[in-house]
Amino acid sequence: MPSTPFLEVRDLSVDFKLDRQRFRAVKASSFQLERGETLGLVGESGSGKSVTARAIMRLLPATAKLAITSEIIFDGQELARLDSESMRKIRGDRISMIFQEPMSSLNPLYTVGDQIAESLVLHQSMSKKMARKRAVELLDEVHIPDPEARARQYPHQLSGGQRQRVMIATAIANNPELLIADEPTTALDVTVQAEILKLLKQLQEKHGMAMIFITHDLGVVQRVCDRVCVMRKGEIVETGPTRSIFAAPEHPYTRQLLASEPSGEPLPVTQDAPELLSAKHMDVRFDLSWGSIWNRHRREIVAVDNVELSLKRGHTVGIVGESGSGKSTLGKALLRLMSDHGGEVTWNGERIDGYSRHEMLPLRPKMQVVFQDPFSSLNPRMSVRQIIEEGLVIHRIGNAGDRLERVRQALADVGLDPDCYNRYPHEFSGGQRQRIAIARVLVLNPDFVLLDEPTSALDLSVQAQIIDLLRALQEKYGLSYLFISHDLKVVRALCHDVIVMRNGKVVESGACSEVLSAPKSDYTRTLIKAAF
Amino acid sequence: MNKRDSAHSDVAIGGLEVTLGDSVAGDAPSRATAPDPDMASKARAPLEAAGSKPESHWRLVTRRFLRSRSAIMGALLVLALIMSAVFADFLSPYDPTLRDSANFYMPPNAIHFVGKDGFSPVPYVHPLETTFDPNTFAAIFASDTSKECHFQFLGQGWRYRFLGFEFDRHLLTPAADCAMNVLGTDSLGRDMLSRILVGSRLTLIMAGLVVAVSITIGTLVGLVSGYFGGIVDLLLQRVTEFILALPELPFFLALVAIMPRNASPTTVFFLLAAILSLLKWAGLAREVRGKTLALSRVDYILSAEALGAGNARIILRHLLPNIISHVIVVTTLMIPQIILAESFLSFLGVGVQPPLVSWGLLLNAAKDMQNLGSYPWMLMPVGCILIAVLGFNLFGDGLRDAIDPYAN
Repeated sequence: MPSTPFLEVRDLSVDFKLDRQRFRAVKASSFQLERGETLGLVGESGSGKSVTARAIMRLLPATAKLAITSEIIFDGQELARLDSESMRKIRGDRISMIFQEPMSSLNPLYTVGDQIAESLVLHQSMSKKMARKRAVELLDEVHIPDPEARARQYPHQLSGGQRQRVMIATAIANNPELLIADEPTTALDVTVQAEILKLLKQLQEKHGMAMIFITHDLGVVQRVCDRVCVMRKGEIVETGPTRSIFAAPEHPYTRQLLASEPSGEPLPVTQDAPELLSAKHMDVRFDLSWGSIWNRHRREIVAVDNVELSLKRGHTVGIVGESGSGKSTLGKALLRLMSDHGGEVTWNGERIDGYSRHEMLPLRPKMQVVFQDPFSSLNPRMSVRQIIEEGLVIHRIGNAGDRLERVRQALADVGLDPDCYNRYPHEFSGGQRQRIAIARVLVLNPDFVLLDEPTSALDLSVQAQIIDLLRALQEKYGLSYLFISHDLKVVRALCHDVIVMRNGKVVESGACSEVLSAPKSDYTRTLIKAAF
Repeated sequence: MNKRDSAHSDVAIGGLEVTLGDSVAGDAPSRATAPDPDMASKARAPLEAAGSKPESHWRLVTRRFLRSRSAIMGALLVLALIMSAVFADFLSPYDPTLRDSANFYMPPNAIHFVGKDGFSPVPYVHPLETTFDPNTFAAIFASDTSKECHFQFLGQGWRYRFLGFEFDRHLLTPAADCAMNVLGTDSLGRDMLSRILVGSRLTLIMAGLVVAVSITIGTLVGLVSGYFGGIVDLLLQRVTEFILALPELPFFLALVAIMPRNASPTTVFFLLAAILSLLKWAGLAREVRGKTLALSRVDYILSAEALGAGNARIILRHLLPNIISHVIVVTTLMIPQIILAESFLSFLGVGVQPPLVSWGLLLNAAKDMQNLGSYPWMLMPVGCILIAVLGFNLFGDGLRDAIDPYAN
């Protein structure tokens, strides 16, 4: 038994050069890894976990600098001060890496077969022909059906999950001894995520690789990792075997992280509440056309297919589905942000489908929407006050003094400092921006809010806070929510009823507790298995 | 719930300073065990760490701008150019239209500060004596170093009107009995320095006018085209393409050719500005359309629609402010283009007409080889055009670099 570990990272510090000063993204982190072991690096965004991985690969951006005291010893070799030529030989050969976005890490101009072959030609000096043959074998190894044909396809012809499999095939092409996976499943749907994790586990056992697994998702950590390092603001706050960390976390931050899984129950409601919004036979179709005038192609895509929905006052209905299931499109059609759809939409007993933009105007303050990405949903050129007040200005509610009072009240309602109204969005973090987006909606006293994945772009602990906030606001103002999400844990914490959608159709619907405890369709079962 | 939120709101404001403190001191003991605030994503960290005071977009841009030395130099050049154009009359020693048959084609006359009476802050020149080569009859100029012609600081000179008032004071007034042409004179004995100073006005007015008109049209067309899409977009884009396809130079020559012979120089000037504006807006319209198309898909535009905002509000409050920085950059980079176009056309004799003065027109005098060989100082306006174009380009580049990194 050799006393030195396979990979040892000692006092790793990385400095970023900023406008005026240095920013230490990773602060004296140390950890080690044995052969065949999986180490999880867990933390929220900005915790320095990706920077750590990149430092090991020596793939830091030009503005970043590895501190002089840092040591990275890989199999007895010091990587931190290795010249770039030798490092290039190790990279992709003995250590390889998988990234989060499979689309942007594959070159769209080459076939996937060629891209896998490239790394073989580079590191094993294989002939091109041999490398192509090996590429097909690798595609087979990552369970891509019909690998011969797939090898000749381009990245855009593959699904997200398949692309990630291609990335994995490229990464394991040279039988690396260490595989670094940087959020490899974050961009994928839950069912696909489960398959990719299974594949990684299989490959690891087969090839005896060590793996560093970077993620913010505690469920994934529990499933994959042997040991965990919890990172926070560039520091490793706790290290230990996965089981003991989950069973008995020592550091308060770890405890907080574990406690921030979305929890709680939806508010108790009465079943005889009046119906606020309902939809019958909802259809949304998109006409796609491409090609030249002489060679026109047309195809109709059915995004939403014959969906029924009913929302009672004070209730929350969850719409669950994976990407492309038509859930966001349904939401926009219900709010009449998309005019060409079929079917009946009834608001408060009034048929509103077919209403023009002008006719919708008086209803707008009562039905509002919060979007997923708080970074794109706030106009960067407007101050917080202007953003929140806009609805009041449009509907000519109150004078300037009243409006400011209502803005401050809304800011207080969402848990922000009421005096921050003169600031601009870029000064706020993701969770704070989402609070501003909620305040913008709240200030109009709406009856109904469409929540389009409002927590998906946020860190776990922030996500839990936002869900608590949404529940508190529902209780305080008797709001009705339509909650669009792909995350069943969040849905369970907030929704009374749930609709499961797939490819534009409703797969299953009913009371949330019933659907989650006794799913009727296979698809729902898969979703639940992947989520919990 | 409430307790957690109030703690959170403290962090909402203080968090910025905390980040700063972290990075400088390297530890933050008080926060180490506190609940984690919403951590900013890595991309945002630099901006948040930069300062704890609220910073609007333009403050950020100004700070970035001031960090670039070349941008500041550009800004100073532009400022100097504009100031000298505004106060051209005051700065000109001679009346730019005053002819002097005794002193035509005088070479530049060097100025001196240290003379017989020691150093003086007001410069003087040695008058030039003209003799003729007995064989070739070429004029030979020699400084008469025995005499000193002193300028008079803020003395009385030729009369001019400025802001509706009549003045006769100048920064430096030449002595009446002495030809003191610092940059020489032209074929009619007019002072080149004064003509260049006054000529900068028309050149800059032309640039400003053309840019203002074409930017307005271009931005409007681009916004409307990109936001409404569909048939409106289709029509406006075909018009834009038509304009872009016009061959500029033959078009100018033809348009100037059909201009009535007896048109006044002012009419010709404004017509030229109109033609230039008509041809220059199309490029910007395309750029703005592209930006608008990208922005229309962003969530905050959809949010505004959900609030019930009308088209005018979305265009003016949401799209325009996000595009305006780009437009400003295009403006500063377009000005030198127009300066060059004006100079070029006037040089060809189809632009600004005498008795108006512009840099291009001044160059017109240097267009034949004989003049160029004998009187090279007639090329002086080229230097001015060079400096102006350089200044605006440096300024525009600096502005673009200051605005772009903060893309969202």
